[in-house]
Amino acid sequence: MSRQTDPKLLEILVCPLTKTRLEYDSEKQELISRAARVAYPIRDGIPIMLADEARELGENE
Amino acid sequence: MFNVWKRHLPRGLKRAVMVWWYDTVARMDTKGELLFLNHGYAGEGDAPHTIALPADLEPHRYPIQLYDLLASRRDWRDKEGLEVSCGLGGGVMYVDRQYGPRSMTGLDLSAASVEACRRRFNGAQLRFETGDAQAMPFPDHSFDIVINVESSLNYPDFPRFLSEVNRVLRPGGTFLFGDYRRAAKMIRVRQALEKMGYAVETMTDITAGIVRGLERGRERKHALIDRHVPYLLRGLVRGFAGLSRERDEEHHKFQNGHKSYLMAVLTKPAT
Repeated sequence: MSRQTDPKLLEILVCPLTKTRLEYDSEKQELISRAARVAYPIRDGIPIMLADEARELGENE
Repeated sequence: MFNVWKRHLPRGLKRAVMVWWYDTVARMDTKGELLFLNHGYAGEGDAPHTIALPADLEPHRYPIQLYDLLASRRDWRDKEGLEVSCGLGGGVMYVDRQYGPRSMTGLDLSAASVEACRRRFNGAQLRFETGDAQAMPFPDHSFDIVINVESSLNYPDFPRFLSEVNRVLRPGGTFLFGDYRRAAKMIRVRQALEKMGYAVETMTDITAGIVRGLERGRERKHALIDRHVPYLLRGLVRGFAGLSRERDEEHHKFQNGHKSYLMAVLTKPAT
């Protein structure tokens, strides 16, 4: 299973809450929405773009 | 029994059960025998509706005919298409094969379904993503055609789904819609669709063709369940599949007017 997230992905996906762009954290395997202050998990290469599966960002993130 | 249970569950729990159900179906190894979950369409009136299909798609004829009823209304070449709630991916695969869009994206709430789609269907022009129909993870004006078949009945907020369709569609784009409801609810569905302010090319009751589709598809559905579902779970699965042997069988509800099936072809204003 590929764990790579191709750069094109970030052009195609936006934060479903704010519709703004995402950042890819390859170490944590997350897509980060600065605007919504949440991180969407990537499981087995599949970003889970659901608000109720997202992790809230800590204060220093 | 199944229907009472389904109707009276609290909303959050119902959603969890639905996702569990679709995840479970997606994880079943049916050797590609199950690619579609819709009721199927077999035409109304005297002449049976029979589209030409390649031999390998023949077993999926009735659910494909429902997709084709909508998809055939547009020229997809050079178009970017989105299927909202793509399920096991059969619809995305069919539209891609038959109509050759520039790209085709499938969105589904069930991550297991998205994983199965990615594993099963390859091609640079095909994408499958996990997300919610009422909060799609796509930028504004991303698609030329949005198709949505027999899924919206599971969305808690139908108008919010429609506003998301409107957001991701480009000006002049097309919304292809098919789904069923109980009679009273269907009035509200029609009103919500009309409220989009799109040009209504078609908004038609296709219940008769669905009844025939259910009749013709029934035997294969029973055979699939018998082949792929452990004995003790078959009753439950038949319930989910609208095949319970009680008199509230899905097909009778369409026949006696308790439920109706609507198709719509709507065009977003060009400016």
